[in-house]
Amino acid sequence: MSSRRFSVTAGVLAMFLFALFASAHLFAGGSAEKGQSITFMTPPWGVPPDAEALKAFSRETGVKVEVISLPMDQLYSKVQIATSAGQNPADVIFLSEEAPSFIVAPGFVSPLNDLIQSDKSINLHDFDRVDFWTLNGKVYGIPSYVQMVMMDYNKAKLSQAGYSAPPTTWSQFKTEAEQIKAKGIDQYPIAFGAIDWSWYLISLSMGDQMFDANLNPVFADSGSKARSAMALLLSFFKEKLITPAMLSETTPHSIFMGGTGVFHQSWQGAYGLMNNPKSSKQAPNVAYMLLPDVGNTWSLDAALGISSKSKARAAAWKFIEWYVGDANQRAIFNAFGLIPARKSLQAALSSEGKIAQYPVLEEQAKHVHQLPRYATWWGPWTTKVTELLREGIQGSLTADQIVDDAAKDWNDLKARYSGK
Amino acid sequence: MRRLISRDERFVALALLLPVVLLAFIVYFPAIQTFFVSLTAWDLRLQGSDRFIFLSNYHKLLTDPEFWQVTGRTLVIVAFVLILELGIGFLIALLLNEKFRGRALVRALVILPWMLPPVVNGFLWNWVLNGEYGALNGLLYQLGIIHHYQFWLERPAAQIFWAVIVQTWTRFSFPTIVMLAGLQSIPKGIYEVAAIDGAGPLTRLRALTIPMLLPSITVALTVEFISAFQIFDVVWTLTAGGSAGNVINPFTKTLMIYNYEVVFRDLRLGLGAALAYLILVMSSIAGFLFIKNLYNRAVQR
Repeated sequence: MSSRRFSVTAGVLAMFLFALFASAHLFAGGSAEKGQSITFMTPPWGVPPDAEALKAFSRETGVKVEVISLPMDQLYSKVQIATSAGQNPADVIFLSEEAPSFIVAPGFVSPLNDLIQSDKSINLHDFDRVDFWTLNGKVYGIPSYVQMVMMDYNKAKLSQAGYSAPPTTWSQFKTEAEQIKAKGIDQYPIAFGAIDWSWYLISLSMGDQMFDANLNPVFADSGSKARSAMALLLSFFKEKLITPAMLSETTPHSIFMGGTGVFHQSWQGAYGLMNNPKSSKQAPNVAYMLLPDVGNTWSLDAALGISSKSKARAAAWKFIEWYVGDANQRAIFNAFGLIPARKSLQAALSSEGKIAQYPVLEEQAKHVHQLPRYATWWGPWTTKVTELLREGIQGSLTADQIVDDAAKDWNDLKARYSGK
Repeated sequence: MRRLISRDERFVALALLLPVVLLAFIVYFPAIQTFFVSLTAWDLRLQGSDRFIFLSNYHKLLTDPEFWQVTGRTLVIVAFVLILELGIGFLIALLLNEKFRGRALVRALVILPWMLPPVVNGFLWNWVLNGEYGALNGLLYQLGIIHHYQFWLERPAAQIFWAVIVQTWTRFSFPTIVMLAGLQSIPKGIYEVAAIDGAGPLTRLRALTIPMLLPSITVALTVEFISAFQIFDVVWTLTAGGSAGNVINPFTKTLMIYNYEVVFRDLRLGLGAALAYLILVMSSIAGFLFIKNLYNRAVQR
C-alpha cells in the first residue's frame, strides 16, 4: 500500500474511532455522584408539593435533590433500560404497585435493610403494608401512601332507583344495576373498565384466592369463584350495563366522571376528585361502598426505593426519611388526597376529621388480599388477561375459555421467568 | 511519484466522509447491533438473559400463530388502504390536473391531512367517532339518519374498517401529489393525436394515461405500502386503547404494535429485535417486487 493511500485510510479510521469514543462517552453520561446531589424519579403525583419545604431540606442536610417527573408508564422502562446498561437511572425511585414485578423482583432496586438497621429514625412498625415491599425477607421500599382498589357509587341515582343503601352481594348488585337501567336513570349503570382489574375486583370480592402459596393459578380450579366472576363481568358487557365506550378506554374513571354510571370501580382517596364539580359530573353525590360479598380487594400502595446502581445511598436515605416525614406526607395528602402509609399520621388526620368516610376505609382495609405482584411475570400476564377479556367481550371467547387461557399464560410465563 | 488520488477525488472523499460516518453511527451500527441482539434471549426482566441463542427467536416467531395472525391483519389493512389511497389519489390527481377556479385552494386542502401528524389524525377521528359525544353521531342524528348514538368503534371489524379509513385520510395526499406530478409530465400532444384518431376519454385513460403514469403509481404504491405496513400511530390512538396500563387492543394489533408490545411492554429485546428484522425483510421484499414488476416494466415501455 502506498504511503498516501495508507495515510488516507488511517485518517478515515482515526475519525471513525474518534467518533466511536466520543459517542461512547456521550451515551455513558455522568456516572459518578457529585457530593450530596441526588436524583429522584417519580410520576407527577410523587413530586413533593411543597417546593419550599424541599429547599429547606436541602439547606439543612446539604443534599440537593433533582426531581425527574415523568409519566408512570415511562418510569419503569427508563429504570429497566438504564440499569441494564449499567447506568444509574436515579438515586431514589418512586415505586408504585407495579414496581414489585417490573423493577424489584428483577433486582433494579436495592434492599434497604442495612439502612433501616443502622439508622433507627424510620420505625417500620409505624408503616402500613411494609409486607408489600418485602421480598424474601428484604425490604425494598419505604411506604409513602396506602391505597386500595375500592368501589364508590352515586347516592342520588341509587336513591332515585328506590335503593337506600348500596348492594352487599354481587347478585343484588346486578339486580340493582338492571333496575337502574330499566327505569332509565342511567343507560350504563356500571362503570368498570374492560380491563383485568374488573375481574380481580369481582373475583377477590367474591372470595376467590386467585393464587396459592406456590403461585399456582387456583382461579382456574373447577367451579371457582373467579370463573363466576368472569361470567358475571362478561354479562355486564353483554347486557350493556357497561357502556361499549369502555372498550376504547383503559380506566373507567373519565367515563364515570363524565356522568355515566352509578357504580364505579374506584380507589381509596378518589372521594375528593369524584365529588369535585370541576372534574366530575357525579359531584357531590359520590360515596365509597364496601365491596360486595366477602369484600376482598387488593392494594395499590406506593413507596420510595433506592436504585441498585446508586452511589449516594446515604443521601438518598436522608431524602426518603424526609419524604415520609409528617410535613411532606401532609402536603401530599392535601394536594392529592393520598393517605399516608404511617399509621400515626393516619390516626392524626382521622382525628382531625380530614379523611372522608374513614370508617368505610378502615373496614375495607381489613379485607386486603394481596395479589402476587412481585412475580416477575406479573406485568406481562396482566396485559394478557386484559386482551383475553376483550376477546371475551367481543364474543370470541367464553368466560371459561378466558380463565383457562389466563391460567395457561400464567403457567407459561412462570416457567419462562422462573427458569423451569 | 504518480498521484494515486486526484484533488477532486480527495474533496469528494472528504465531503462524503462525514455523511458516511454519521450514517454508520445512526443507521448501520444500530442495525448491526440490533441484528446481534436478535440472536440473543435478552429480556430486561431477567438479569443475565443476554445469552446467544442463534436463530431461535426467528424460529419462535415464524412458528407462532400470533405472528401470522398479526401479519395477516396487517396485510388486510395494507390491501384496503392501498386500494383506497391510490384510487382516491388517482381521481383527485385527474381532477387537479384540470384547470378550474380555486384549484390552488383545493390543492392546499388536499395536502392538509398529510401535514397533520398521524397521532393527531388518530385522536381527531377518535373524537369524531366517539359513541357518546362524537361529531359523526351528532351529524347523522341531526340529519335524521340515526335515531340513537352509535358506538362506531365497538366491533373488531369496525375497528379495522375505521383504521383503514383514517390511515387513508392521513396518507392519500402523497399518492395524489406523486400522480399529479406524473400527469403533468405527460405531453398534451399525445392526447390530441389520440383524439384525432378517434380515441374516447376512457380509451385515452386506459391506453395512455395509466401506462404513462405507471412509474408514478409504482413510487406511490411502494412508499404507501411501507407506510401502511408499518402502521402504528393511527391504530394506537384510534383503537389500541392507549398506553396507560399497557393495554393493547388485540383486534387491531398490527406488526408494529406487536413489535412495540414485545420490546417496550414485555421488554423482550432479543425477540423484539428479531421481529424488527422480519418486518424489514418483508417490507424489502414487497418494495423489491413492486419496483421489479411495475416500475421497470413501465420504464422499459
